[in-house]
Amino acid sequence: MNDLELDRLFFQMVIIFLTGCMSAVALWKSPRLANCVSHGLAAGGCALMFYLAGTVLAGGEAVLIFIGRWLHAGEVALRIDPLAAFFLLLLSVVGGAASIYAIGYTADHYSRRYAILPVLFNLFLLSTVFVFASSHAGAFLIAWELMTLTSLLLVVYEHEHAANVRAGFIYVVMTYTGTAFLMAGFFIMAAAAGDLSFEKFIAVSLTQPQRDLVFLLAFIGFGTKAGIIPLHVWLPKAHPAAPSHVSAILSGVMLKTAIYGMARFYLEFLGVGPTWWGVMVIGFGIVSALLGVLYALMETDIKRLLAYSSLENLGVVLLGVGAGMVFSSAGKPLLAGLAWAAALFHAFNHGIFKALLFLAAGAVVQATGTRDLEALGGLIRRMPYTAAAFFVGALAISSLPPLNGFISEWLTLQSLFFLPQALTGVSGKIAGALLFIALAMTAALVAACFVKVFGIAFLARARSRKAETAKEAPFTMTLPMLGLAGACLYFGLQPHSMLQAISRVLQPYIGIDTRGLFEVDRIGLMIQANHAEGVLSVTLLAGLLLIGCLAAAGLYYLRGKAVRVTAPIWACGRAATPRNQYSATGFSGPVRWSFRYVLRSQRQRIVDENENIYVGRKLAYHQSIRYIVDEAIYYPVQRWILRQARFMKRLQAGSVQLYVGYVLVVTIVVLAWSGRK
Amino acid sequence: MNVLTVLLLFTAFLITRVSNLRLAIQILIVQSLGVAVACVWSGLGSELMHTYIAAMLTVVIKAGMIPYALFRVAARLRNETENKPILSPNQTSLAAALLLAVAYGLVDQALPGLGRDALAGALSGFLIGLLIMITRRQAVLQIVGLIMMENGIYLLGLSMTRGLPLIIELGVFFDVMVAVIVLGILTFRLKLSFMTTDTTVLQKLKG
Amino acid sequence: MFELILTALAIPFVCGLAVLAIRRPAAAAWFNLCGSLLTSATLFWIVRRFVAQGPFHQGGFMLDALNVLFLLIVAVLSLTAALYSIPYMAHELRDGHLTEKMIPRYFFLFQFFVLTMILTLVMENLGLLWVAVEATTLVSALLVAFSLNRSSLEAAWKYVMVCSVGIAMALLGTILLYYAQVQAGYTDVQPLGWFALSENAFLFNPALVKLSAMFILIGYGTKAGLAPMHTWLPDAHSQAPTPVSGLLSGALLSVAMYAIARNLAVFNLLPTVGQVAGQLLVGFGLLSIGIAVPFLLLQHDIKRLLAYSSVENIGLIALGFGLGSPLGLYGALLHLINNAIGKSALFYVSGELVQQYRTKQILRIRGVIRVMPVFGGMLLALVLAVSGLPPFGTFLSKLTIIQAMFHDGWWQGLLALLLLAAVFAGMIYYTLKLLFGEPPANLKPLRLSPAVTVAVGLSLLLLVSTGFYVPVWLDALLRAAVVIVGGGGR
Repeated sequence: MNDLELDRLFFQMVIIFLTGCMSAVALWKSPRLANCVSHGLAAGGCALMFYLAGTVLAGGEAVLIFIGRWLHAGEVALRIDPLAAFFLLLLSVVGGAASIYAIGYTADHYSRRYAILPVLFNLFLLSTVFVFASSHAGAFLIAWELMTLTSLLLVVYEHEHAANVRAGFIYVVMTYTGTAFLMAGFFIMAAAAGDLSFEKFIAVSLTQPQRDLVFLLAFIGFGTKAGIIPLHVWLPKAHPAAPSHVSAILSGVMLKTAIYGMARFYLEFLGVGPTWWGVMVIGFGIVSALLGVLYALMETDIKRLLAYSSLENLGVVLLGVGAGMVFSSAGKPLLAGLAWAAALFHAFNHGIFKALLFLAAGAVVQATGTRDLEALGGLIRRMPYTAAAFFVGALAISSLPPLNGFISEWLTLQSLFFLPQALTGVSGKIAGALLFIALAMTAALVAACFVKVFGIAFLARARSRKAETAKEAPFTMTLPMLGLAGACLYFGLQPHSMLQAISRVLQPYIGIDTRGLFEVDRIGLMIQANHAEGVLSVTLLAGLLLIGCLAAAGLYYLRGKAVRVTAPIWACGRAATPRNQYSATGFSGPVRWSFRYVLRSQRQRIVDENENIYVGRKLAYHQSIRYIVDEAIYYPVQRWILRQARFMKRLQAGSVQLYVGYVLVVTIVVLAWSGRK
Repeated sequence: MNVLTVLLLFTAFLITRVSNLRLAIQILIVQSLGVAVACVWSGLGSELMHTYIAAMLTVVIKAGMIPYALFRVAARLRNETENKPILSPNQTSLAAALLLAVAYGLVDQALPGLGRDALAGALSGFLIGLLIMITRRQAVLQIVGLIMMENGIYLLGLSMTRGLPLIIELGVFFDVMVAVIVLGILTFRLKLSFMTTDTTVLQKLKG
Repeated sequence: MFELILTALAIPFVCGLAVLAIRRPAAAAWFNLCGSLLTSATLFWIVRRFVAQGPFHQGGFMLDALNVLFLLIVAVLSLTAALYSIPYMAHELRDGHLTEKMIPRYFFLFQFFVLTMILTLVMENLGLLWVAVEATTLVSALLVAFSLNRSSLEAAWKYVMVCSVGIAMALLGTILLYYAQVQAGYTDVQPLGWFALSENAFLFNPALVKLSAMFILIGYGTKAGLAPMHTWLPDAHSQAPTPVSGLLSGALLSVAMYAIARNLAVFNLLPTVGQVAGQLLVGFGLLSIGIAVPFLLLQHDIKRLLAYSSVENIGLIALGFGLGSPLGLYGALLHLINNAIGKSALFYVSGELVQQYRTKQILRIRGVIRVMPVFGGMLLALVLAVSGLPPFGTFLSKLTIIQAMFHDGWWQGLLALLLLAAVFAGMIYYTLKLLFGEPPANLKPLRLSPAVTVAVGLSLLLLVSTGFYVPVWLDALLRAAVVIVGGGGR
């Protein structure tokens, strides 16, 4: 397919999204119609995007969509290269699922202001498309800010809850600040390149200190968007605040724009850097991964838990990115390719399964009216499809075969395994080895976390009346969830299709070689990177799993028939209530205790001892953890800024004489300054 | 010329010691008349007609209309005097002396080669006017300080370039006059609203 | 052309006097609007003619790309302010803040205020430019004090005092410039005339021009609200009647920046002076952005919040002027236009809120989005616009200025960006407080008068359109103005 048709396709997609906005505005009086038409169009736009991105990715060549002069900014180009196409593919899959899901999900939100929701949703998708497609710093920044703004408005859409508005505030201030760093990074390159177009940035010649500076600025800027610890504070607040179909895109795709940006900067603009770049990325990655999963494990709010788990996954992606950078600078292009491929694939997979989990959590929240795990339970019988979808998502995020999470996490582990080769010195080698262990531990903790969520929310008995009366979501919601679950399974069983596309994406960049990295063998995927050769056969694994399951079932049936006995549950002689069940807080207790120095957990019990002096009667129990990053950095900084502000405000004390005095002082100072030799 | 410079400086120092509003206005008249004489003086040597017009305008506006307007305002402010200035008269005089030194320093450094004393005198007149605005509470005294600044600037221009072109000069005079009228209205309104023209009560708006 | 300029000056003069004769407030307001419509139409016509014919100079007036840009600002803003004055004054009368007798006086001052601003812009002579700038101070001081209550008197007093001192500095600087001209031997040419200066200023004594530049920048900088001479600004802008606040923040500050730009064009003819003047402006600019931060982070008064945001934006513009590179100048001029439109509209919105909620306290204004949804949306959009976010023109102009900063090193640019982020934090914090939450129980959902909606909607439309597209003629004007300010002479 030639460029001409693709660019027409692109503009058709843009028009479809814009029509989605317009139609919602035009139909604002009948929300039901606005919902179906607008979200339907969004889904249609995503379908086109899927085709577009797939074509580019398969072709492996960049496609120029549009180029034109724009004010003083010079030539502005929209270009979809394989890297952008890869992320657009993710957006199309997640966005399409979320659009269809929204038709059922937002039917609950009908009100006078409803029309705003689909309008913003379409604009949000559109601006994200432009983030990936812009090949010019100015256009990129516009799209980037618009993406932030539309998502901010979606976060505060349910502004009746003060917490949502607060979350929106923190979100927008953090990202605005992050964007400031990005702008600085772009402009330093622009000053050297003389232009703002990405093409000029590729060959830009900077001094080493300037390159270091750009690296740091981009890391802070994109890191804020990616929510790496300690720049993450907005993420666990903002993601849960948005309506669930938006949360899915926020976590699934918008975080990945940061990975996209890092890939652009570190692969394309800056090229191979010194080792410490990669080491730094790895350091932040592992901290994010570990702390993220610990916080997720402690959480009882299902959506906030998922948001914290996003921190963990972005940490894992960063591990891959950092490892890739280390390998590049150590002159090991094949390993670099492996690490980058692992990072990109994990970013992709996380997008899919996290979106799936958010959508399923949204269905649960809508059915039960609560996000609190402690009030859920037993939903597997009342919401079987949602439960099935969530189960697949939970398996995928816990990186269990045969699902996609397993593949990318495994590849990341593989690349970390070779990290000591690229690091010099004893400490480097030890650190590399420890990293491997830390990642393995993270994976285990994730598994624990999702055992908790699935067990508490879907199994056992309902812990509240609302959970007892929950109903299955309509098919418009279950269908996209099951679709995403299918995607998890597909990329788990057939990873080579995507991995080979990723290797095509990575091949052109300096310091990376992906030729022959991933070959398909009869039994599965072959990985070949100098000394590291391996076979990863998911089909085999899946087959073994299947055999194991069949064997278990067979044994079960061979031993005899099951007998069903109905009897009350033994609860020390008292009638068993749902309150006797294991709780989410209780489940995470051992981990909380093990990591008490990091989590700084506190508990508060109010006990009335009058009734029974031996046992006591617990009246209230409150368990909380303290967030070390907030306490060590954000609160002191906030206090300091406000204290300084209060002090500075004395400048404007209200006295005319003082103000005239300022003018006099300024005059004298300026005269003295200008008179200096 | 030197006599006039001394007169200007003398009036400027005198105002630093005055707490009675009417007296300050009278001193201002003397100073403005001195400026007018200086204007004529500089015009004597040449055939420039416009210096005479400027001198006449100075007399009419700065020694006539403005003091008249100020007297009218002051007449309504019966019990207003500068009771506790922000710097006491002694301190203000000392500061004025300091500014005189600063003015000499500045002239020596930045504008060498002209009439040194005249320039320094004019500049210190400007600075002392500013000083009065900073250290006095009474609205009328602040206006007086402002006009002293204008006088200083005018003299400075006179001693450097024999005054600005007439059309600009006219504009400046017009502005000064309107400014005093506006300030007069405001002072009068201050008295009505706040029962005083002590401008240090104007500290409600801050932050 | 000359007649057109005279017409543009005569219309506000005549209307201002005529409006005094009208007794009925509503009639006076509509008459005022008609007058402003005529003035703006004339100004637009001037701009059109200019675009077609090019520079013009006759009888003390002149037009070049630089002042035509600012005429555009005055034309748009005087129109929206006149429009907004209609419902604003009616509401003030209904609430009993003003008496009927005061209304014609307001419109008289309004027209004369516009007159002085136009006068400032078309003056060819830098001395007369000074005279006109001082005149704007005096007329607007009476407007600031218009409601004659304690706080407005206080604000007006500070405004006149601080600005007069500042402006006196500018006069001193202008005299020094004249002296430099005389000293260089150009006594027979037009004294202080722009054309004379732009032709031979490069022959002046640099030391003298530098001294003059310092005084002029401090002087007009006071008028433009550059820190630390900005102290009068939040008082005056918050106490004036709101349509006038919009004009003060949008138009008058721009006019003061025009005075700076015009003088800067002379200084830039001498590279050494241009460099020092640029450094001073960059210093003032950074200081202005920085000083706005604490006051925006801790603020209780909605109009003061906007006033400090003006300080910040003017600081950004001063930065652009100070950089002196074509990119920086282009951004600064574009930002002037965008900021003028955005800030004035934001003031109109805030005025409407203050009238509906009967308080300026931010914490007492809650739930705007529930009481007036459309208006709340406009408020949010405008706050984002003045904070420099897309899809508004301010984003592009801000970006351009910042980009220009990175040409001479990175730390200043990064500092400005971080300060802007802090400013944004304050603005958005209070905006979210205004928009959301529970509105007071006694407040019913309100209908807005169409005049407000039109005035604000028009501004928003302009801002969004400049966010994506700058018309060819405007781009040409900006480029020509950049050459003028950059020291390219005529």
